[in-house]
Amino acid sequence: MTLALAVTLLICALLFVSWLWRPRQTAEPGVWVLLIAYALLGTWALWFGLYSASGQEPAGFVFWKPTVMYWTLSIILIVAPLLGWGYPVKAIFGTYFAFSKMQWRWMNRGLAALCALLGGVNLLVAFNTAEGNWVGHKFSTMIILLFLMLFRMIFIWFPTLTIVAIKLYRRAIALLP
Amino acid sequence: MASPKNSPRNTVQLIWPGGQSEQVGLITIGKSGGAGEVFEIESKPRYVAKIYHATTREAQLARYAQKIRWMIANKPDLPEIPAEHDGIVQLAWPVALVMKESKFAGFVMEKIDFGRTMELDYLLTHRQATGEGFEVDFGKLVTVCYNLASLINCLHSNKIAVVDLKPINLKVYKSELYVSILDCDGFHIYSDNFHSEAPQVTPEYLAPEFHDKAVTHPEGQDWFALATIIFRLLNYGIHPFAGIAASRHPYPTELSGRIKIGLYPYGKTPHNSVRATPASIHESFPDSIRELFDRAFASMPSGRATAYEWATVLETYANKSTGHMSQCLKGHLQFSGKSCPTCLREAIIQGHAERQRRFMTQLQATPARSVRYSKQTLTGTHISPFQAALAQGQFNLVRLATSGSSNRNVISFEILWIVGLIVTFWWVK
Repeated sequence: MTLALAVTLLICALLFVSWLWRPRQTAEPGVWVLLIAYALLGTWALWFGLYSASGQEPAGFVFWKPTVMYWTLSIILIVAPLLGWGYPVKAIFGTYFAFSKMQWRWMNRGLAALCALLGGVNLLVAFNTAEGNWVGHKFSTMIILLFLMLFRMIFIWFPTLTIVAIKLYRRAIALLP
Repeated sequence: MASPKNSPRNTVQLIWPGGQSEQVGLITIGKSGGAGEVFEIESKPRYVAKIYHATTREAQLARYAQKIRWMIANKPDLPEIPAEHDGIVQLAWPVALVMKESKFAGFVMEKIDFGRTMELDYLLTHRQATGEGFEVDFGKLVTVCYNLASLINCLHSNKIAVVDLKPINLKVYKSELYVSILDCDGFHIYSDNFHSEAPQVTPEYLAPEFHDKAVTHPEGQDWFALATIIFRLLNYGIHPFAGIAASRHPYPTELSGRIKIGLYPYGKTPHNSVRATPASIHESFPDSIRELFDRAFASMPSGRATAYEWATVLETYANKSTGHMSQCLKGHLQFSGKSCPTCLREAIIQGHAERQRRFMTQLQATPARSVRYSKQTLTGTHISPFQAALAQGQFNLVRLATSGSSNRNVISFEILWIVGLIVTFWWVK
């Protein structure tokens, strides 16, 4: 089995589990648009990253890639509330938090503005400075991903795991004579 | 193992420049190279003989003979050595022919006293030099660099180039700091009346313009190799093309590949694609030396600093009376007006050791801390209010929604979230 096939199968298996265990309540259309956009971006990345021969991805597109992703995200975040499709930011930060509608609206706008800005800055750096600077800038923006990861670990995974551990401990204590 | 005195004895004839000849015995000392073997000579302790291997082809042997005859007749003028420094041999230059059964077999050269010298390679690792009884400081290093540059400059003045110039072919006198060059019969000679090329090169010291092709400008090759050796001597053995990749371009794993495409990270103007090794102390070199390095490694071959320029600049630092080198507060020698390279290096190493020690301490303490945290969580005895709030799921800053989601729903959502993160990373990278 090739590495490319193994990675594809792993991702498909994860997505399958996610589909099987999905919440049954209706999701907002904005979340679906976000999911479809990410599925398309992911398929593109999977195809050109693992399957196609190197050099087949359009030359010069590499400089545009971060901008395409940021601006796609920004457009979805801006357009979805205008069409009454809800706030996609909920899907990004998680529905675990009880914010008011106004708070979600401003978080949605804030994230849209940040993504629009990052996409623009990427183009400015890519086409106005040396390539090395662009590479440095690109990686420095990845720190945002790290923050998102930490945010999720601190507020969701870690407390959830702690609560599960407490529940298990109490059950174990209850079983003792 | 047989001692040299008991080794088999060869009898050969030596022919000295004046034409006088004599029969001598050779003593095997077990030093053999690619082209020949080196022997001690009975009753001539100041000399050794190099005898070409018996497998050498006739035509090749004839070329060697021609070259050695020219070399014996044309010994280059070398930098003068004060009379008090007796017995310094700067070149293992041929001084007589060795004949076996009336046929050319090798040559005699002055013996380099291995007790007084050490390989220049040892100076690249200060601990190794200390092990050889040589206490390294920047004053001594600059003097060694100056003596090497002067020697190369003298050879070039005599239309002779080393070509395969590298630390392993160089010896340093531990007390006097003079440099000796071995394997002189491999030199490139381009005098008006004689021409002989040097086919041997070492990729780590080969100028970029000669990779995959013959060395057509031997002096230029020597200037590049000289700058590389000086850089390594002054920078704790770090090769000028050793660095850390800083771009998405493929970074050659071998030094020769980096030399070929000019990935020199220590220039006064930083390189876009490669960063300097963190342990480097090149920032403490004076501007005049850094300019010569930049010209050697980061500019066109035509702008490369010559051995004469190196000798001129280094002389000002090697000469104590100029005051271009001073002592730092800790008593180390440094280039005046710059930070102390020894202190800088110590700080780098100490910082690294400190970080490593702190990391190991944290790593060792992790299991105990995890157990303590779990105990505090289970017994509800957290001292920190933040940890207590976190453990009880009562975080006041952010209210958690009352969710009817099962664990499976949560996992489903988190899978999508992680896949989204991977896609984002894939795109931004």
